[in-house]
Amino acid sequence: MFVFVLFFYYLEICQGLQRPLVIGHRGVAYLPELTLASQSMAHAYGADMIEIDVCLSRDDQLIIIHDTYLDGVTNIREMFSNRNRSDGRNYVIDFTLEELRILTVRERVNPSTNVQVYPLRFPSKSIVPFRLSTLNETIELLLGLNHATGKQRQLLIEIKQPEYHVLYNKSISKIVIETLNAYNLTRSSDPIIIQTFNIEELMHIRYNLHSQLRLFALMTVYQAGVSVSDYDFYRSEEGIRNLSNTVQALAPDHVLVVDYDINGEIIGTSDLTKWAHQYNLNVYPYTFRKDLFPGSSFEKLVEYFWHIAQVDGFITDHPDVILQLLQNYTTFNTTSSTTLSTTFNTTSSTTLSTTINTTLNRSSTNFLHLFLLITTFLFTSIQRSELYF
Amino acid sequence: MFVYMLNIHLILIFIVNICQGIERPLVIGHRGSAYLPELTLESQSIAHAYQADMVEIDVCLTRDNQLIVIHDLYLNAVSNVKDIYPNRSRSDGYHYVIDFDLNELRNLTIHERIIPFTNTQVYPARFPSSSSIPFHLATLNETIELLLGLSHSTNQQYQLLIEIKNPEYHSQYNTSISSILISTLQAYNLTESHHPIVIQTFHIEDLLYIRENLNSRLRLIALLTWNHLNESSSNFDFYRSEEGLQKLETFVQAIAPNMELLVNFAEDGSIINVTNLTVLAHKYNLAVYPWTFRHDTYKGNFEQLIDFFHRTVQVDGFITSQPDIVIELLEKKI
Repeated sequence: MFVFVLFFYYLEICQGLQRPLVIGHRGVAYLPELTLASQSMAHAYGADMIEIDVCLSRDDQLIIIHDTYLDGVTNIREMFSNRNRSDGRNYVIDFTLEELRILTVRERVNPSTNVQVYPLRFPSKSIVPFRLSTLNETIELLLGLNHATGKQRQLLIEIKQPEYHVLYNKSISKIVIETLNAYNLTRSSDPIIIQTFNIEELMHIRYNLHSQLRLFALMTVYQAGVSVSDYDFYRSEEGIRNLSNTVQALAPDHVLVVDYDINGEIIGTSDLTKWAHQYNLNVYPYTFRKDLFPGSSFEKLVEYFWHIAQVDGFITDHPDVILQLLQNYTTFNTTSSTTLSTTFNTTSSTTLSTTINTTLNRSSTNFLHLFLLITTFLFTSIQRSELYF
Repeated sequence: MFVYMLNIHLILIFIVNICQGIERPLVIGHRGSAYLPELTLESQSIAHAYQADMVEIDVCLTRDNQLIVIHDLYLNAVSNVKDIYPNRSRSDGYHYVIDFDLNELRNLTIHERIIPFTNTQVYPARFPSSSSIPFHLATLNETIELLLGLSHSTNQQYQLLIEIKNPEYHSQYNTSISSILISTLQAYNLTESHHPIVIQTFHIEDLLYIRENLNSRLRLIALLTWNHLNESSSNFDFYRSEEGLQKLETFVQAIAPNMELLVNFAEDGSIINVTNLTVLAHKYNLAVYPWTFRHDTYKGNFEQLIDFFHRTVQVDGFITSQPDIVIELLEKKI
């Protein structure tokens, strides 16, 4: 029985020492996406990586924005009245950096209705003047924060639609690599990773541009005639083996990793993670949102992906929430201190008093259980030895 | 025997549950936090992410009576004002906030603090002041909306501690910065003691004015320091005496003293002994929030410093540039 107890705790210790990576999607959910403030919060919350998107402006500057158009997250329509295309939208590639600098960024709205896409998030009507940033500024923010905090976080740069940028005779990947070169960010050991949905572009980056940076292959559900790459092939065993020569990880839509029923409950795991691990690729599914997820329990969803699907990390709008969930299930705290320390979570009192209540988290309770079991063993073994007399 | 062990276990759980009720002191992020240029919206955002209970900011007035979030009365330590407006300095070489309109100040970019007219960063371990990132000055309105918006999106209520910089200096320009502040807060319906706004200043008489003439119900904190530093005309020697604290009790909720008023430090940064200021303040129901605990510049052992102020001096909170570090230290101790 003693051996069993020891074995059980050894297993728990091993699990606790390696938690999955947490990647802050577009920074964090709590501030307008991709702003420097949002990226800063992701860094402060302890996200291992901060994920950002880049598109090109008319004058070949790399702008941090998710859409190729501006109407979802900026006040472009108030600042420019006749620069939209026939679909009513204003495209990043039609504007210079100087023009884009005068825009203010706000929480995402549906451009047709002006309704906030995620109602619980930062108010899109707020007058706080967030701004679009460039890749240079984002790199300097990461390096500066890493320097000031002593914590080494990483930047996951998604190149948006290289095939679209090619139509404008622009090689967005080349400009990204050149920008990174200027900051001496070139090696697999540097805190930069590049990802894109265009798998052939990843090959181009690796073999034509000769980059040594780590690469992730984004994957979504394959749609013939629409998808830029054949994701059905790339997520087959043969496709994954093929990819493993070029990339370090897969970043699949979470629906490619598990199977859901009509109600959003998980009914099984696909072979994708198994094959990826077979060929030494990590798996980082997207996107885990506490305010929009399948099924009835966010906690159970995260737990399934962690323990059953066994993914290597989470791309999430709520890195603080997932970090907390990962720590609650861990016997020993691994993020900051290396010694066994009991940590407490604090929650602000809802009555806005000037003092704070502290609550015990499960790490300390588990410590007590360990104490109990060891002392129980000691007492029962003493009892057993008494029987021999 | 097993039942005996079970009882011990239950007793331990019970004790631990009692600890749940123990409250840790408040942690107040000084100018946001140390990790980004002070007082920027980004610096305030990361203070919130680090779970600071309050974010401390400073306000000054522009020429057109707008409240700007900046610590100094001049712009030269944290902005590129001398490049953008080379001819607008005064005879001492400095560019003063009150000589500029808001829309002019919007053209400036903000950087980590330097010694004015040099390229020397004041805190070398912090964010590089040479970075090309265009941080900007924020107005009080934007700061309030950041606070309210973040409280909404994170579902966590943090508070704003607003320091009014040098009200007497602003009076020379025929403006009452305190009145403008109270009006701005009123526009956001921030008026009551349970609202997430607290006001502090070195000019104690302005606090009395806010309480009795402007009839504000917001919580107020009296900043205290050495008289010879001339932060204001208030007599801090009086206000930290028993009689002074008794008077303060009638219109403020707390004192925010220079930490050197609470303990006597030796040359090497170690603590010699405690003064009686905290005991007296507590006698008159005033909370005590000393400043400023800076992990990157404190000469002695920072952990011991925090521990001493927590358990021996028994302060009610810490004003610190590194709220994450202080929170971690306080939670380890419980």
